[in-house]
Amino acid sequence: MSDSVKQNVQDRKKFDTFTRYFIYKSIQIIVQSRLGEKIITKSNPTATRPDWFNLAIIDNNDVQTEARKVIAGQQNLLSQNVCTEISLRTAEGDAMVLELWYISLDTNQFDPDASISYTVYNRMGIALKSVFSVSRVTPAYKLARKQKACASDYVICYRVYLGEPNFYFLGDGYQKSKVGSAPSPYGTLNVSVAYRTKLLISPQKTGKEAPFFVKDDHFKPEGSEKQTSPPRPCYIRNRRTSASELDTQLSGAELSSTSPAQKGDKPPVHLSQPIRILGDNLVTQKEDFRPKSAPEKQSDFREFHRVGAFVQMPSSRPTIRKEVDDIPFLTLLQPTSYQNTADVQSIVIKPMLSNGTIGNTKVENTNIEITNSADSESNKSTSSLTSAPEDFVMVELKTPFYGADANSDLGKFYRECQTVPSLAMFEEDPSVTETLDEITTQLEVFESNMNDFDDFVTSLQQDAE
Amino acid sequence: MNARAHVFELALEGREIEEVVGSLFNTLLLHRTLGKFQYQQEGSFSTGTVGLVDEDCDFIDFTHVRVASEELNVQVKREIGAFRDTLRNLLTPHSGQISLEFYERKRARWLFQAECIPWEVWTVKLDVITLSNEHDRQIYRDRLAEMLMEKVMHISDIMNRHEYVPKMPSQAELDLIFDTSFLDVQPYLFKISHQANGPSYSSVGTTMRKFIKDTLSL
Repeated sequence: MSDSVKQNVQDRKKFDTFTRYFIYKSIQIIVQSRLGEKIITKSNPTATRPDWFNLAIIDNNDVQTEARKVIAGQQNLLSQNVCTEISLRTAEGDAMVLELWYISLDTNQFDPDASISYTVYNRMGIALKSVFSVSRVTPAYKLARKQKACASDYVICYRVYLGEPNFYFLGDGYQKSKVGSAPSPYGTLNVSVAYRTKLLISPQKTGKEAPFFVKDDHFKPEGSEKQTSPPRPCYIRNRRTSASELDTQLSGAELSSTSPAQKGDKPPVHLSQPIRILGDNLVTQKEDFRPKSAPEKQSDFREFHRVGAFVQMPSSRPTIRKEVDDIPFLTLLQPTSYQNTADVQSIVIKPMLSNGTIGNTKVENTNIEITNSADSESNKSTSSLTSAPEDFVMVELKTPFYGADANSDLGKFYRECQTVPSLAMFEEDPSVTETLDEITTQLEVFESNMNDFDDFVTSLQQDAE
Repeated sequence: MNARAHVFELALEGREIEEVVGSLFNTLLLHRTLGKFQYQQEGSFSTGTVGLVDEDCDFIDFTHVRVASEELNVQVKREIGAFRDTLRNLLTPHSGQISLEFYERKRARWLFQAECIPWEVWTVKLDVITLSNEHDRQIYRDRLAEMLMEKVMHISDIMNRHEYVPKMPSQAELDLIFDTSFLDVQPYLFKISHQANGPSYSSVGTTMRKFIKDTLSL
């Protein structure tokens, strides 16, 4: 008897461990699928240290920390649902919940005969494979994959919390689907997803308005949502980590999520509250093209910082101002150092040592040779922002198909081609009788001129002879 | 034993055949593939890790997950490619079906030859259509992606019912249940067969049964 009790205790312990890792791995799969990148892991037939559920899932540390923090808040594992919320935040400050993934334990449905070590473990593995598959087909996946290209427009965020999922924020017509389940002797572990189907942001429902939402279970102590942290960007891998930089990018609300000590001081940030979130491209758009903001960190964002032709580095600007204040465009002729820029190889500047004077000011002429100026055509207008505005007359370049929204221009062009109007000659189609009359008239005219034609032919024959 | 049968019916353009069938079959194989077993001694083995790859489609806005195994991928692609060629070479009618059948084998015994018994069959029936312009094509492409999404969710639903799969075999009988020919992963034994023009009623099991009956009647 005591043996069976002991066995039960061991099984329960195993089940709790498996469940805990099942939750961690589920959250990893969901959040990593929203990074906007393709995930590729390798199979390993001779794994010396077995991976959880025999699946190659590389843990993201930030997500793992977040998940652990949330799970630690539970006395009994899955006494409350574990929810992962995926939301979208636009550059204008609007926010929209895209989907809610929630893991629950249904204690009313159980499989008393299932072995924990083998059957339940394998079932959990299959459920995780389903999470993999389904996470790639919901509308949020497509948005996440496009977020790098549209970083100036929106970013995708995630939030993990305990409690009932807030379907209210998914808007009308949202869909719910059970993704995976693993029946066990202690209940059935379920993973479900609810996702938004209407992806248009309506202004009255955005965070700017901050509607006061009263939940029907407001006074319910158990089961009501615990706001553990505000949404965090999924695309974290390339986020700039310096605290000072984060200060300029993130609101205090988001910063509080990284520091447990501060968490209690701030009110929980509701999803509909606008929270400043970034991806690397967003940072680039907002600040990194301005050398004033962080010139000393140039090497940190080499990957995306391109220096256009004629761009002045900030260090050289003060001296230029003193010497050539009165002469427009003269800064273009100054030798410039590009040691710290990523695209230095694309611009070669060879100083010519012939001295000359322009006006009353003695200057040093330079010969500027640009070897690959077309390298970053799309960055031309942005690059011009980096130079001293006083020295430049801004000339807007309008290259074909390039504009604020290149996609829409191309789309417009394409649509115009498709819906090209038909030719007028086809629209004014004469009737058959009119055509016949016209032919008759023409024949009559030709017959009346028959003598002229004969004369012409005769004259040609005479010429030939 | 009756095999579970599931049928998907879709209409699509010829160029989408490979990606649509590939999306469905790769999702199925993902759920029916385990890590490679490494036996230390009889009764004791360790399981390898299954890697995963996000696979984007070119002709539809759709991504699915497949098992990270080049060998398995090549084999599945080859079978689907043959089906595509058969279907596209047809003048009329443009329709056909391709099946992914999971089966287990019974060893040959004295009078009886080896038998393959299917336990799960997934059939994709396709109607190949021709769209007249790019506008219609775009609309249909979006619709097709939605349909594939529904199918993937349906597959997940079925897989998580945890219905019959063959019992875990001993080391000696491993190749009766699993395809051990792959170096990196271990799917359940499967077979892909296709047919153009009309439904196929034959499977490995029924074919073998017919063969055995014919042999005995001699």
